[in-house]
Amino acid sequence: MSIKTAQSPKYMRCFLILLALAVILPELTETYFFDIIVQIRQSIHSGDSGFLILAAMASCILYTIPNLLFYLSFECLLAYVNSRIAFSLKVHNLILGFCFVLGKTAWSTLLHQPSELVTSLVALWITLGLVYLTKHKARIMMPRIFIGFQVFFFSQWLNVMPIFAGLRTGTSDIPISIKIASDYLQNTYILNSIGFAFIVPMFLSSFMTAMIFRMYMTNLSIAEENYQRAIALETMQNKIMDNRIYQEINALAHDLKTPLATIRGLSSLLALAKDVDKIETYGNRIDQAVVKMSEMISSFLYGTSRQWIEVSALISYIRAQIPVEDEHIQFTTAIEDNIPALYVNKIRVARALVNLIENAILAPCVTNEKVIKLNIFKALEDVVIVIQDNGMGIAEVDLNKIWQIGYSTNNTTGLGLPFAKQTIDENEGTIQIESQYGIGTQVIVKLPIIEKGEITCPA
Amino acid sequence: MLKLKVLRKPVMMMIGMAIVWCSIYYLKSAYEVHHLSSTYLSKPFSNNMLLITSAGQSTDTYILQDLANELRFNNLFMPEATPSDLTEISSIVIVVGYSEIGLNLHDKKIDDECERVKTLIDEGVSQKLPLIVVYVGGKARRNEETDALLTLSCEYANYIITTNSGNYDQFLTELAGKKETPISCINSINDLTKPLAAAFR
Repeated sequence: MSIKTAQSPKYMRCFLILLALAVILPELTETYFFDIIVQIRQSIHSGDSGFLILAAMASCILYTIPNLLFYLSFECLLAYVNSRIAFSLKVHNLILGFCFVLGKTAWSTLLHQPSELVTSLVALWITLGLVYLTKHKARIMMPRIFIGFQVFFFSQWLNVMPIFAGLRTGTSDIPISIKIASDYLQNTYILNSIGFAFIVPMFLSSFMTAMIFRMYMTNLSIAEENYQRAIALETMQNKIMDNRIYQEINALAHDLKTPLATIRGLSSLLALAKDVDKIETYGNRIDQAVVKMSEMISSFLYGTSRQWIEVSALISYIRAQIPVEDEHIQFTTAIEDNIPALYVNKIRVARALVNLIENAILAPCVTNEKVIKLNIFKALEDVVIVIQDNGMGIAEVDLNKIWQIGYSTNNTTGLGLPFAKQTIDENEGTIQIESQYGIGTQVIVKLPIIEKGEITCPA
Repeated sequence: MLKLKVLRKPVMMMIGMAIVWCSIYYLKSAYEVHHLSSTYLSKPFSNNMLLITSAGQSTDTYILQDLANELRFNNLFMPEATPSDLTEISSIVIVVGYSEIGLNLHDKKIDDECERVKTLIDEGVSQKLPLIVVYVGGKARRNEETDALLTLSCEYANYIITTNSGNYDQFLTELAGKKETPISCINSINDLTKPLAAAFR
């Protein structure tokens, strides 16, 4: 329960200021007490109950101020102490009650001030009860100020209401004078009615205030819980993405084997070769294989890295990575003639397209034979790659969620589509999915056609 | 077990309400005092000019002034009257009730007030002026200071008027009994008219 915050010294300062105010209060309020005496005299002489009501109102305000100052000052003190020594709310309330009684008794005795201890304690008890209802775990001042002010004010009406005269309330000078004057003027019912008119609505108001703060706290804790969940989800997604990177590294390592095998073969031939022309040819080929390996590594390491690649080469590369050996899967490819070369990160784009085709392969199918079509054609300034399947399709409600990391309708990792979208976006392309549930899905990838003269700073 | 848990709160609330109700009933019954009867004087005091003064500077004095005006008594209202104010006075009425704020308003302490009242009474006694002590503060205003002022005032009083609630412990009856001073106990402040009228008419 101990909460050491930057506000801790502030609580101590507040305590000292409030206590100092309570000490100098008699000097500030003395004339107002005299005014009350004058109002009581006017009401007796004129028989006007209005003056008596004004006196009662002023008395309630003047009795509320010290109570509120003492209550809030000790709340501040305990908030400060609580930041250093942890204790429960019950102990907090017990100490507060003890300090309140001690402080008020000392104040009234040393400074000769009127004090209504019974009503003050009743008010304190109600305030602490209502503050407890707010379910504030930390020592926050705002609900205490709002609830305390209302409760301490309405409870002071118990002092001046003649109906409660026998309950040890209103035993100090001013309330007694008001009640005697009211008895003489035979208007005790007016004071009682006005007292109830204050007490009942203000009690309800303080209760409602407590409930509002409680709701606020509940909402705050829910929001905090949701925020924590979102952070946990994001952390989990990041871990999943890291895992995905390891998978990609595996794929790259596998792809690097091909040029390495080439280099190895050529180097063994180089050892046997005696013809200078052949040595030169083998050397050139080894160099090409090294360049290819370098490009592959760059493509993987840097998302901004781009290379020129013919569409047919890209498709061959993709086909090599897709195991379409199932006899129930019919995979067809149609490439339009004269399609210009693409300037993309060929490793990443190829991996993205492989992911899309794998999704089509894994999608459940209503018919016995799965048909997957890969169509590539030119449309205005883009090369369009369409992957079409006759699977179950995606329900309309799920279409908005498919780009979320971890979302999957067929128990996969749910990383393929987000990765594909990220890669296509990085290569200035667009990706779009159209699906009809029960009929099939069509993924449309558009990659921009770039003229060779437009590249000013090749990667 | 579940039913017991559900019933626990209403039962506790009912017990709490019963305790509060009993406490209120006890406190109210302890507060209301219904005893003593009123005693009226056979012969009235002179009402040529009454001096209405206070012992303790409570607002109760204003009530007596208002009543005196209502009864059309010739009166001089001086809450801080001194022996020099007793010229042409036929009777003294002292309204007792300690008020700290009242004393502060007149920039006085309780000892100063006791001294003033004592000298006033002494002068009144030396001039053989009738002294009527009125206490309408009830049980609430009874404290050490008020009791001291009552003891001081009642010593030479010719007539004491009090409310039943103010005499809840027979304190004023005992003070009156020492010198067999006539005492009237009234139920409420509004009954004050009768003994006052009897005293001065």
